[in-house]
Amino acid sequence: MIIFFLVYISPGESLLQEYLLNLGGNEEEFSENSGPINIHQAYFSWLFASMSGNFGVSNSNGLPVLGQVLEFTANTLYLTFSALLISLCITLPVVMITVSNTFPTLSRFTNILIRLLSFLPLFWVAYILIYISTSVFDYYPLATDYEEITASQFILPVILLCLGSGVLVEIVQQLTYEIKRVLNEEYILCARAKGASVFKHLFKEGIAFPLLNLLSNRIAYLFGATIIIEQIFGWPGIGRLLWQATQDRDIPLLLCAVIICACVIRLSHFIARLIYVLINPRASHE
Amino acid sequence: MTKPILEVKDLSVRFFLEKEKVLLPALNQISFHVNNNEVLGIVGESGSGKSITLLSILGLLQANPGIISGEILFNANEANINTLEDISSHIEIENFEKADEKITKKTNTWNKLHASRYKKILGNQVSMVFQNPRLAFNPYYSIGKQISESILLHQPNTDKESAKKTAIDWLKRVKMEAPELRYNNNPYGLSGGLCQRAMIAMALASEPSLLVADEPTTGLDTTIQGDILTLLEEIRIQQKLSMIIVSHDFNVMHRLANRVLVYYNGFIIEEGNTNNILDYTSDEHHPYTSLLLNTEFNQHVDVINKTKDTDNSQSKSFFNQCPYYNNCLKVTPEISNKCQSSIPPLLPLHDSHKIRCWRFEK
Amino acid sequence: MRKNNTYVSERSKLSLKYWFDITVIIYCLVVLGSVVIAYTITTFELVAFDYDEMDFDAILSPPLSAGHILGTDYLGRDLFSRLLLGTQAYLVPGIMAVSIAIFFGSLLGGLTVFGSKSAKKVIKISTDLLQTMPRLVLLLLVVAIFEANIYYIMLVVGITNIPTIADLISRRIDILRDKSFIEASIANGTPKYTLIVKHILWYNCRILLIGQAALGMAEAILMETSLSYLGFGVQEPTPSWGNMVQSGTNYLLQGNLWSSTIPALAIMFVLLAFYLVSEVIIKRIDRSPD
Repeated sequence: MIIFFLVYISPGESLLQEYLLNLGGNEEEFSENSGPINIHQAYFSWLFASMSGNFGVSNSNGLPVLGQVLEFTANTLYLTFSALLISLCITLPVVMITVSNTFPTLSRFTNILIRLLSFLPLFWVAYILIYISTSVFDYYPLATDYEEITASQFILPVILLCLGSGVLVEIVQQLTYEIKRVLNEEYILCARAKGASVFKHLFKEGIAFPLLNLLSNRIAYLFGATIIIEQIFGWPGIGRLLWQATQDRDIPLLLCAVIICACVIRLSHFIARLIYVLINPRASHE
Repeated sequence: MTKPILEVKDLSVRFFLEKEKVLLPALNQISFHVNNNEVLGIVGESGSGKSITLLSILGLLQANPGIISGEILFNANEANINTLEDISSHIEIENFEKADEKITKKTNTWNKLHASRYKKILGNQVSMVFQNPRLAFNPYYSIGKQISESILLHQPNTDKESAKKTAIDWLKRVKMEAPELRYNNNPYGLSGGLCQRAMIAMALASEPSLLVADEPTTGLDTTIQGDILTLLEEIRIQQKLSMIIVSHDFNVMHRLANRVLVYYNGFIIEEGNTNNILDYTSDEHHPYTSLLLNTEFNQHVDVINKTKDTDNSQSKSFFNQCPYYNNCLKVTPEISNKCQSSIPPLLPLHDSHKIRCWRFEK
Repeated sequence: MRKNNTYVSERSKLSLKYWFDITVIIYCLVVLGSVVIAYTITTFELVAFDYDEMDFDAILSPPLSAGHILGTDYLGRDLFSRLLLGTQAYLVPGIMAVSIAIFFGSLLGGLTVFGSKSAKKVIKISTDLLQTMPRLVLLLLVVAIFEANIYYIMLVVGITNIPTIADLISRRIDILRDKSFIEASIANGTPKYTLIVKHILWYNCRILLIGQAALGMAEAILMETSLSYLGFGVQEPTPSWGNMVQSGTNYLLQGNLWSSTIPALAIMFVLLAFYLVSEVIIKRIDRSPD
């Protein structure tokens, strides 16, 4: 299975995006070179080069693409994973309150609030928050120097990222549903009859599996949302790089960024699957 | 005379149906007791409230949506614990109309209290064998781990190693082959019979004085059913257990039970020693019991269309007439009026044989 | 003595929950109805709105100012008429996106369950591929290669929605497959395709699909706003709610809140309506016996 996934990552991924891009790339080269170019030839030569780690040189600034992209990806990952962490910190208490039904009004209120916020255009929320913090608190939350980023400059994009990618809404909704479902299973009743902790028996099926599934699925959305967030906050990440590359029609850069992006997502899916197999004794039977 | 190990007095359970805004009675003033070293059998058709009785005894029925009243007394170390103490101050049955939120709020506090009371009782006093062992085991842990978990929970002085040893020992005692190997098996890797054995091992591992079994043989093959019953009987004698066994099978009652309760629609309609109840030649039975006995033992008797008028059974008039009135074939003109207008009490016949039928009024 | 054991509340119809349900339904009807009305008015030009007319005396004026109910944007254009016209950007393309997603989604979902092994494999790989790409990145690529046309955008949104729906449908069918009514109808001699289309998709999945359609519509609108921010959405001067918010935000930090807030709130209300519709429908699924 591992081999399957690894094989999957490299050529399969590139196929679709590559093809689309070669079309785009050709248009340009067409006008420049005014000579016929064999699409397949170009594609395969690019493919072999990229497999050996040579993604070429950027059109716009002439630097090797791969190093640039990796550096930016690291920045984005920094942002993404802290977003995941923060969203877990926010949602787990909300879910617990909802499930245990201790403060029904509070949980309903937070659920509705999170839902409503997710309906608003992300960038508008971002601007409003910036506006509020500058005008009301007299504090400019945008980082000017990315070498030294303070926590307060970091927190705003992270929270917006949680909101914008739908991570918050999904976790709250799905997790509540799953926990409620599992609580009705007979083995929970049995655990209670034994006097054992319900949480322990609930944990695997009710919390760990859905969370793994959700988080790995949502990474793609997170990467999508980073494009906007990084644009607003000027964060030097892969989303911003992608946007710039599209604007400049910097095809090698764009390609490399897309591939790396897809690799990261694929890898996170794979890791999630790995953990799932490790903790679920049933999975090895499937 | 020693005190009974468990006493249930006037237990009533109602379910609040949110959509219909109806309180549906599931149990009506059930009273019974279990003596030391005694097996109490409960018979009845599905939906008659057998399982709900067990769940409320074990405190697994949350006050919402089930609304409970009555008393459940455990005789723990010569001190009675009433697990339903002052439930009336937390649950106002009269007030349910004002949206379910109010019920939730009130019952939340009670549920917490309830849970804390049951902490001492569950496992130490009672444990339960479930109807479907494959669903009752957590599919993500090995059965051995689950058994040793219940040992660790209830015998605080044991460490993990000795708990594992005891668990394997228990697996041996329920006659599992190769218990060391079975210890690491996951529940879905076992057959139904083996699973039920493991279930019994888990229930007994915490060494309770009362074992509650909810249809322990229903999902199994006939041959395995016999094995499980023999096992239960042996272990009961070994451990000097008291038991409550729920089944719809008279055979099980015959094998295990000393006394039998017959349930119908949330009422105890007949109560007595096993010999009295299972005596199908006698005529001293509630009409429903005799129907059950006839279908079980006399194959030639025509099975009568039981469900004559079931739509009526949940209407308001249901509470003013004998619960079995609509299906009853033994109504005589003399008592028909009485049957229609009031619920008969449990009328004593002889020994401890009681029947809820106006025909036996002296 | 037991007279009061069953209580049937006669006031239950007047309870809070009942009114809440009614308000939800009315809200959805009003919001979605007004969207449709706005669309018809602007398409058939029943009332003439000059969405391009610039009122230089009233640039960035707040709502309820003279002549402009909802105020004006940075070029002094009337926000209300632009809001109405903005529906044109979404309604038809949105429906297109949703119908693509639903048609192909249910097709693939059916195929994953009933199709051959190789078909399943192909579907699995292609859906995996689609799910690996962030949707916005894919949109950026398409927009970069072709042009910023709302139809292209919605096409991509529709296509990227296919895996989700296919997954839902196949899971639903998997549950249904164990039920005996399928075997019964096969035994009756029902052809396979009638069975799949009529019995499974139509009778058992329609509620699910309608719920997904409502959500898909909402997602499509949000996608367009995101793209608008990046400058790849519907292009000015054609109004769309996305580019209205976007142009408004440029002036937001100087304190001109209204020109972006109004379209943003409009988006929120419409999305809420879509969401509530899907919620109501999902509730109906829960209530249905299967």
